[in-house]
Amino acid sequence: MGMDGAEESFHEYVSGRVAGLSRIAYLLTGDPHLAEDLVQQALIRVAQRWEAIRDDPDPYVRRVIYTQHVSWWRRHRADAVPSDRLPERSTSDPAHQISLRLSMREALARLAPRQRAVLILRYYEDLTEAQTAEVLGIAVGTVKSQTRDALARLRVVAPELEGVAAQ
Amino acid sequence: MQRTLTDMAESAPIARVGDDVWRRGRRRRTRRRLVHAALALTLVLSPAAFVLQSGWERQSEPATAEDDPLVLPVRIGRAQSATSTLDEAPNGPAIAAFNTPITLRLGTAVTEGVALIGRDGSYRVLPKTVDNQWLLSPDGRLLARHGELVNLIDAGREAIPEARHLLAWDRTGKRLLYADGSDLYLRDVEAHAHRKLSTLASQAEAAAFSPDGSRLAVTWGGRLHVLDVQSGAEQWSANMDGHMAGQAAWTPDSQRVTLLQVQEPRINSRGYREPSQWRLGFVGPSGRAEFEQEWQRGWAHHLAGWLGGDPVVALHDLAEHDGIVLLRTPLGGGDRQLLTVFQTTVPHVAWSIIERADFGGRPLAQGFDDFQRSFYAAATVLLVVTCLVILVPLFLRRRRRA
Repeated sequence: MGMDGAEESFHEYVSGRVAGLSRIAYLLTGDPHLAEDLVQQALIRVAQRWEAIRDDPDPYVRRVIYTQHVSWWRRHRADAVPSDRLPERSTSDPAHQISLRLSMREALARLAPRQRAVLILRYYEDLTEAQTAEVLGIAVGTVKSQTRDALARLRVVAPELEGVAAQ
Repeated sequence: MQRTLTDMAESAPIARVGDDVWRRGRRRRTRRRLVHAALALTLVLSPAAFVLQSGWERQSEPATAEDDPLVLPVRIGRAQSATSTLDEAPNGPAIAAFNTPITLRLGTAVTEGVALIGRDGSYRVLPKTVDNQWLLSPDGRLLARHGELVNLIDAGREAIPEARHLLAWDRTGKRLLYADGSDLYLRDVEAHAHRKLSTLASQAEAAAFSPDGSRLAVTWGGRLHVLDVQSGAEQWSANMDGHMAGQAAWTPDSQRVTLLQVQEPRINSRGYREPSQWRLGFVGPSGRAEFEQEWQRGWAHHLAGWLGGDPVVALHDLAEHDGIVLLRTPLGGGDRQLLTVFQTTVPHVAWSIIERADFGGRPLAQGFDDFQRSFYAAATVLLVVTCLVILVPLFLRRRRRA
């Protein structure tokens, strides 16, 4: 297939996966604008190697999006200094789920990027520890320890998620 | 946890993906490919470039006839690794020689030796045997060293066991003076025989034949002694203020012996570092040294010869020329003339070259001989293969990971 075919299949893939990728990017960044940038940059890299990965692009796309996020964080860590305490929220929030969602977003933002990635891969994408290790290019033991540390940190920074984190 | 994350993810707006994502990705791909290709090419070709600039293209010409006009290069470079030995391909007569450090060979490690520069600009190495003592004959055809005489034209050897301490060649290159302990021997090179000239009070330190060949200046016990070459009898002696300037120490008229005074660098009373200085003086039968010359800045090593009645001094000049320079220094204080720069250890130039040669020839850097070509070709292939062995798996690994 020529270049046109490759481009066509790329656009087909993007239109089918962009929503899913946006969600992952949003979970990772906690910010819709950053998520959009992350998706965009990841897809540029995917386009760069499309011929080689087109048969099964997901593993590569996933790896790009997670590693790119970690390197972004490293570049901009000075800009992202989380406060020690989460802001108080009204206990009279009528929608409990919305409250949890906000708590989760802010709690995730207070985790190290790799811890955040581990949690999202394990609990959102529902990958096994081995699959998570493969995506992030780390050892299974590291995945276990990062998961444990991430959950412990969540309990500290967002006690209201205690019940959620235990599940 | 999963439900909350899913819930949170569902609230994410769908990212807008620009139409140019594909084009930007492809542009980046092209750029990366070009960069990788350039890097790979550089990595693979750099050994070859190194070899080429090292002397692949320079090749020594066949030796010229001995009586061809000689032109001494303005600059002479150091010997390279894997230089052929004199025994493999003699290149004499030599115009100059100098000690050279490690020279790498396949199979053998020549750790030190004498580098010999032929009249054709070729370099050869004579591996060290006992010590670093050697004397190049004035015509560059013979090299005397501990226990042997080496013919630089055919690499033939003549054993002279008594030659434990080499002292001087005469101007004709037919007589060699050496010592064994305090015994002084004079060898007739053509007759392959020597005679004991004298037994000194202590071991001789240095010696020089007068240009007319009738006298010898020999130093021992801190004094300069002038001996008759035929009888070995002492004609006169003098205290030395400085030291005898070298094998070419006699003035061209064979009347006086040149002394070299060197003042080491020192810190003066005001705390400034004063550079080293040197000057030449002369001592004759009166026994009184006369230093007519002003102090000169620099660090003189020895008197290399005479040119048109002017002394030619070998001078360390690391600051400006990164090596040793041969400098014509008129005694009357006229303009000094830079003859040649040796970017090597201290060279010994055959005297006849200094007297006969023209100066200002194109700079001489060692060209590759046949052995070096094979050596560097093998090394290049090895480097290129090594680069490929490193690069190809890296490339394949990247593709697999993709």
